[in-house]
Amino acid sequence: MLFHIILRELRSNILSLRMLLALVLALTVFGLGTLVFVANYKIDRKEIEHSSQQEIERMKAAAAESVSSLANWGFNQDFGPRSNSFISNSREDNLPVRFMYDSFKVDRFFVWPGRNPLSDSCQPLDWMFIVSIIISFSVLLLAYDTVSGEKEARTLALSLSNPVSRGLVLFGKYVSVILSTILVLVPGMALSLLIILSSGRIAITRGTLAETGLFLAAAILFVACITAFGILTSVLTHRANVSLVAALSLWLLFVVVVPNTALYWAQKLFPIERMENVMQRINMERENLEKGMPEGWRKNSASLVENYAKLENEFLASEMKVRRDWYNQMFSQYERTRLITALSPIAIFEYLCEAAVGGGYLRFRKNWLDMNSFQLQFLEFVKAADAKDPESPHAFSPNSWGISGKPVDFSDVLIFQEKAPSIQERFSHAGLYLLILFFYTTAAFALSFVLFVRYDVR
Amino acid sequence: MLQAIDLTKRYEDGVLALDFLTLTVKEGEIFCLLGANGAGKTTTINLFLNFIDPTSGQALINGIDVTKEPLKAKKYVAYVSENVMLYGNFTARQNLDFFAKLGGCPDLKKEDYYMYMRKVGLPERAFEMRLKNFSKGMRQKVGITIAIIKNAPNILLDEPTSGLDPKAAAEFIKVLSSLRDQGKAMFMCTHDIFRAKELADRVGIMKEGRLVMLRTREEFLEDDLEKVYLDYMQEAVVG
Amino acid sequence: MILQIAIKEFYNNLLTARFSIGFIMCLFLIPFSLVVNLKDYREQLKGYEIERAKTEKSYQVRVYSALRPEIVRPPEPLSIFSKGISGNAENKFKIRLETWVSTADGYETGRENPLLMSLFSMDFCTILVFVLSLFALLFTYDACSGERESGTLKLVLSNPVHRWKVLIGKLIGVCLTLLPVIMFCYLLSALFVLLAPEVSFSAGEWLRVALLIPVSLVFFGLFILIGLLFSCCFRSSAASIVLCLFVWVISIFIIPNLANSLAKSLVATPSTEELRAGNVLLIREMGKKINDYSQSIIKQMKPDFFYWDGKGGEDGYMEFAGASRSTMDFRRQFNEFREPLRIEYAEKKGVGQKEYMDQLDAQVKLANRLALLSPTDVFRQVSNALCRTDYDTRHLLISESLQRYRDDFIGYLKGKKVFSSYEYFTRQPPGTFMDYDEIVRVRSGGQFNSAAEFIKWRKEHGGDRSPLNKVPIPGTAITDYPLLELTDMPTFECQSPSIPGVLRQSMGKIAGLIGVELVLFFLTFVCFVRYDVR
Repeated sequence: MLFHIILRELRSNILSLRMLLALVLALTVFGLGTLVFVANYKIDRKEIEHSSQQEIERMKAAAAESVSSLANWGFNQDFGPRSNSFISNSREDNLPVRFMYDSFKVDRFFVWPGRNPLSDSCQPLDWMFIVSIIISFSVLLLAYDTVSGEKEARTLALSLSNPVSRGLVLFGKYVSVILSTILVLVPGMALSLLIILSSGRIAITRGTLAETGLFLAAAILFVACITAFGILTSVLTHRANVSLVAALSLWLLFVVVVPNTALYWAQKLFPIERMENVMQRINMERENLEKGMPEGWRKNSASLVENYAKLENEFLASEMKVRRDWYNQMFSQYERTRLITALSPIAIFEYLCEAAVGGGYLRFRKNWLDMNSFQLQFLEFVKAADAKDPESPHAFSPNSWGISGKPVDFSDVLIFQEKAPSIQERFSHAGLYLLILFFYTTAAFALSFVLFVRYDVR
Repeated sequence: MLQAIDLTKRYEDGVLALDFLTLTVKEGEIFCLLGANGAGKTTTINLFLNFIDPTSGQALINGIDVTKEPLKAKKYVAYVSENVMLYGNFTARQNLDFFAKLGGCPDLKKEDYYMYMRKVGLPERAFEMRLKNFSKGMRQKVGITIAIIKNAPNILLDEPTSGLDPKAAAEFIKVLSSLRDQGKAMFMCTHDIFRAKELADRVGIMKEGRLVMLRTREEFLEDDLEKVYLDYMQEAVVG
Repeated sequence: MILQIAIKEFYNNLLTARFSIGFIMCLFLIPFSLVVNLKDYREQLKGYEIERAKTEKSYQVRVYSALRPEIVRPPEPLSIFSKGISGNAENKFKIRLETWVSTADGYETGRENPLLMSLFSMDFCTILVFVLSLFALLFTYDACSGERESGTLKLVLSNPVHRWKVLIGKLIGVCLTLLPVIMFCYLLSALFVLLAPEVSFSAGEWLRVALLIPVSLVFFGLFILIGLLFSCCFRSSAASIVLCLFVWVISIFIIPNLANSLAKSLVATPSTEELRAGNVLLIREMGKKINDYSQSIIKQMKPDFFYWDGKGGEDGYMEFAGASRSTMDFRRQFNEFREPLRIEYAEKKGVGQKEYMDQLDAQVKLANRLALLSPTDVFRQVSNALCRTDYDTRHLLISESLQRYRDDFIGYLKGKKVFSSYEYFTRQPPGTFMDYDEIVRVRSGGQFNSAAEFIKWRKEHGGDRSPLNKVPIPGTAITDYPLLELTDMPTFECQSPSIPGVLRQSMGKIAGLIGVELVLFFLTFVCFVRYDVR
């Protein structure tokens, strides 16, 4: 029976104008977006390789100069575009992707500087964008009149006059909308993959395919959620055009209102310390430390290097403490704000995609942590290199002459390698969001079910 | 006076909806056109309202050719449609007001509208009620009120009693006969033989675009109208 | 008659659920966006004040070589209405001999937390576009088809009314419905701006905001007509709304984003790294020339490099007092050679930078041109232009105002012949310059009779210079001299496109919109006249 209902619904969906339009639009955007991605990926990749190459050259130069230079020069670590960002760019255009580090600290991160400063920020037309905008929109258009429209056409009463439970009818409609959407989504993804394969510039590995699978799963969950909301708007009213307005308002709420008020909530609810204050604190700490040094230490040339190194190390430790604290404030501000935006399933879907491709904030956080542990290793390495040099004063500190002046063999130097987040990390990142999405879906569907059971079919 | 002279309509898909209809409805006369669905009844009304152009022939309202001078012709005709929804967000009075102004009676006051509505038997509480809360019968009464207010000498009615309960239909018929007494020429399409019998001065039966039978009141009261109608319909099935 | 129909449409729209929902949406979104944008603006203003104070200091110099004007552009108050690219470009510029003005350095306008840059906030104009264009479509999509479905269209047309009057009446009715909402949005935002402390608009700025209103009316007219056209094309309003909404999504979400990425892949920008590498080569070349020259004149002039008081720094500025005569002469001659060379190399570097900038320009121009396909983007471009946050304003600032100012400034230095003067690096009158020997003799109070004697002593005493502190010579400290009077220095004037200029430039776009509207109106008219009301 369920099968029968689904089949009928599917048939009528497939023949509808909106389905056709959605399919055409989705295929066009999938195709164009991927073509553009392939072209741009090459450009971005070249740029980032160039800059990474230069950093390597600088590192070589530093190593050739001395251990001290290697320890003190600041290096950039860039995290270039992912080859799977055609699935989801995860706002990496606007997230920090360049970290600055030396052997003592990882202390700053920047947004990619190579962006055209004159152009408007835009969202790349990746799969995530297509699903979260076009597909979600099409889903609502398919779902808004499933009940109210049939009521107006009086076919609902006719269907329900048969010995079939209302729950089954509703569920049949629900499943058929999801299935029709998958019929739009899958060809688009296939087209996109085909374009990438035929371009030959980006290798599609097993990992990419697995990520595609994860994305598809996330997309289906998301579609299921939006469909539940669409059906809810449909059973809320008795007239199709009122449900339409309700569905559109809901969509605007999810796409426009929630994401665009996030900044407001971030600033209002979770303010962080101002940069000036942080700097002031750092300077005050510095002054205190300097006062704490023994009287006239600068004149005492015998222990000057050690004392200087000690002071510098204290400066570093205190500054890094303040900074780390401040960065943690930033991270928690951002994370909490994201939790607020989780009011919108579209934002949740974005975070799920982020987890699926291992990009965006997940990647940033992972790289930040990895970078910090890498810096410790790097420090150990430089210290070891310093220890090998008998002539070095072994007064290890930033900005000082207390480190060995001997060159280091570059082939030994540690170089940071980015690691993609593991499957566990991805799932733990997505876990909470999955729960919320699941909750929304069940809540919306349960509510529609209750309303539908009481729905006045006249 | 409504006149159709050799009125013919063939649609783009080749269907002949109306075949050489010649007909006159005089002042103070109710003409009922009976026929099955798709017989061409509504096409006739659409032709009179110039919603579609005739393939050949003429439709005249008070002697004015509707294709040549549609606006002038429409001054002399009011239209009551089947199951009109009107503007659901407006009250009955607001609907009347809008259509009165369109129909060329701009100076009516609230009381005037109330008076008209009382005349057709709308309950007082409905006067300032949103139309979307109206029942079908009440809506239909508003529809006829619009026609009354327009005060045109001719009225076209398209299945006005369909879907009304017997009481509402009876009330509606009463209003129509009072309009006849005022000398209006009325052309009504309907399936409802009983109402037609009750009300009509002349009855025509239409089949596949052709007027196959035309009886005056005396004639159809003599023969059994139902039987005549069914005979003609039967013929259609057989033929 | 038209009026009757218009009023009826107006009331009918007013009573619908869509009206209240749309209105609430505006009421909800606009304050949020204004609060965020006002805060952004205030942050920028704060940053500007700090930078501004620093800039003042950059003019308090004693020698010409230290004169490196810094220009900080105040944040654009109109960015509250339409942000444009004001958020991603920096606003501080340094005028230096060695570099060509291209992109800004320093004073980022970003948010405190760089992660927050990835959260989008819409400006007023975007919200207007988003909500009200949808609004316009929702009011018109069933103007014809809906009335046909409910049967009222037949009833209306059974009266002696021309069809075109009905159409115009509907059009006016929808406009009448939207107009108060638009005005309300503008008034609400004006109220916010008026009540916000620290933000005050000049009359010209208010005029610009006021000019946004007719532009937005033209823009919404387009959506009204699109909705009307679809409603007259289709017999069912369900089909009409579906098409309307797809057009809306394409116009708002797809075309602008696609245009930007497409332009990026069509016009490749040379990488900044390559540009930097090219510059490094030029800098090396210049360094070699300077080095060669200085070696040659050192051989020739044999300066002793004795400096008493001095400082130097960024962009090769230096300031001395109490240096020996040969050192001063060497410096003067060295500068006479070096500074014009640096200017020359700045021009050479400028060639590459200019190419780079031109590519960026070409990319943006292409993106903007591609995006013209979407009416929303036309509105965005015009509103950005009116709010001085568009690409052209930026271009004018960098390529014209700043360029010209740099030329003026260099012309001013050249006109004063400062490169070959002592005043370029010292305020000590040349008549008071002394030889190294003399300086040592006077300063040490006769302890040493010649420089050679002092140098020998110093070597033995681990570089100790203290004997020279015995007898001070007046006028040998930098701070002995007053600051330069710079009253005749050219001042920077930031040009931004004037209102008539903006209007002239946007005229094409607005005319295009109006042209499309006329075509749409004509089509709607034809469709409606031929509309089958059955």
